[in-house]
Amino acid sequence: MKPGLFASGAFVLVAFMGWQTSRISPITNPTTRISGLDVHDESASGSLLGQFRTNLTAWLWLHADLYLHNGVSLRPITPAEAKSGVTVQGPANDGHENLDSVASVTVIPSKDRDFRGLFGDAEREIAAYKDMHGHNHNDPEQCLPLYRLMTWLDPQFIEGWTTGAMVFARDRSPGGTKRALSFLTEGLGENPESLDIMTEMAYIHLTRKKDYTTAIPWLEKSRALGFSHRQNLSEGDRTALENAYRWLCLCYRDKGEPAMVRQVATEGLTIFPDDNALTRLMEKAGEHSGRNPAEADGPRSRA
Amino acid sequence: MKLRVYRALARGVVLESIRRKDLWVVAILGFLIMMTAGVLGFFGMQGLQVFIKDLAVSVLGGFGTIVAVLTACRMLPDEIRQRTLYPLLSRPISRFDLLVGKLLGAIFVTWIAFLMLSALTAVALLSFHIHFELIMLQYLVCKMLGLAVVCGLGLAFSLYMTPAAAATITFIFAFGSSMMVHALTMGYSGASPVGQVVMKSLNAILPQLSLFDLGSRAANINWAPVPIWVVLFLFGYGLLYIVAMLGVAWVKFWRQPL
Repeated sequence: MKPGLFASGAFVLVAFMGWQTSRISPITNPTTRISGLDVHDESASGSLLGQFRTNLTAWLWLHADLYLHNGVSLRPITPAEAKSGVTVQGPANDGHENLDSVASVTVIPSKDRDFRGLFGDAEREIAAYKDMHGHNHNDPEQCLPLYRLMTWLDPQFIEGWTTGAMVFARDRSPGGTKRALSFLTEGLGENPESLDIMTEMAYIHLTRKKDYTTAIPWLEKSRALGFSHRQNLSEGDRTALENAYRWLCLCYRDKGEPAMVRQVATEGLTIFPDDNALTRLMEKAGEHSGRNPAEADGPRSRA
Repeated sequence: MKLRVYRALARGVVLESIRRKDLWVVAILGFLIMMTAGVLGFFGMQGLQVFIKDLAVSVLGGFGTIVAVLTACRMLPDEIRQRTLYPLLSRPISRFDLLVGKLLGAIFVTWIAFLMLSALTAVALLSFHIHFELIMLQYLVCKMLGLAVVCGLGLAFSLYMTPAAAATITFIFAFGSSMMVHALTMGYSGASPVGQVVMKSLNAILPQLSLFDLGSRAANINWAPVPIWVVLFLFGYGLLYIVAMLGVAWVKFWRQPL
């Protein structure tokens, strides 16, 4: 065989494989991520091709986090550090939702926990470093194109949709809320069975618009879907489902429907038996506080 | 006298690099930068300025390091294999002078490539109306110093192992030293006293190449320029490390049968 013919044939095959990537998208990124099913068990080629897209999205995700912190790198605090008294460098309470999902410290250590002497001093001057106790975030608007880009690259990347929506929703004007909801609707179009997006949708309706009528159906849908898949939920969906149960209980409590609170809490406790919030809400199910759930102690860690 | 020797040797490395069309690699990398910029332009730049600057400094750092490693790790093994080293050593120059001259040549080739890439990147950034601050100049100067240290490392390793192995090890240090150092700082407080001594020693020996990278400050907004004492410290540290690497290379080269 002539080399030219061989090379052309190989290129045609590569191009064909490239065109077919959209067909394996449902395999690499199922609409409902089931933790018991890993794509590499089903399709090795699907796993390989999906990897690049996922890596790029993860890279953008990390960079979005960096820009929010003006270049200062943070990492989760280790149990040993927490035990030895190292304090979490959390954000300031500025009235917005917390965009930092984990308790973090700076990657470059502060002077008091750095053994490197002059090297450490120089690095703190050279790299983007500052004390991040009670830190503020850069204008998240700057990161919005990145959330757009990452969800465009990987529409099944749920955190991109939900965190992007939170960034939109930091603008508490009707326009900001509208943009957040529109972003989530777009995400839901790509991931029609994502519990996280549904719960987020309800959260924004409740906290920004105090709109129980729209929020409750979203939470109920999340609850029904989550309950039917309760054995196979991913970590993210489990958290979303737990939040959906809590918000639903609060909504029904404030609507003066204690029977519904009991019903939802009882069902929730079968999946999350250690949830103190649900236990408390069930105990107080007969009482109607009249508080707005949006103003109550939110179930979300970021609220 | 020595300066003339070093200049002639360094010039030889630069000419050899041009003859081998190494700088074509730079041109291709530059073309990639422009292509990437074009693709990003297609998506629109609104709000992406920091991202683009970050991408630019990452690409510059990465490509600069690739050129430094490939140039430094191939020079002497190629000269030995092609037996072009004999005519050089038949002249009245010592083996140490040869090492210094070659290293200077590798550094110049790397700097030329880096500056070419920087110019192309600057054009790409300016086309997006992204402005530069003083810290960007500091970034360039410190990065060039860091690339010189990478050349020193590559040259030293190339005398102890094959060029491919030397390039691999140098790449590991160039891209991984920051991770290694941060791992040491994380583990230090929990380590035993003996472990802490080992960690301190490792930290002292490891090339702290991340110190030469001001990229995170240059890409993000409102960071003040680095104090002058830090730049002087980097200059001193870089020079010291290069001299140390030259020493390591000389130990092997001065009695090496050719």
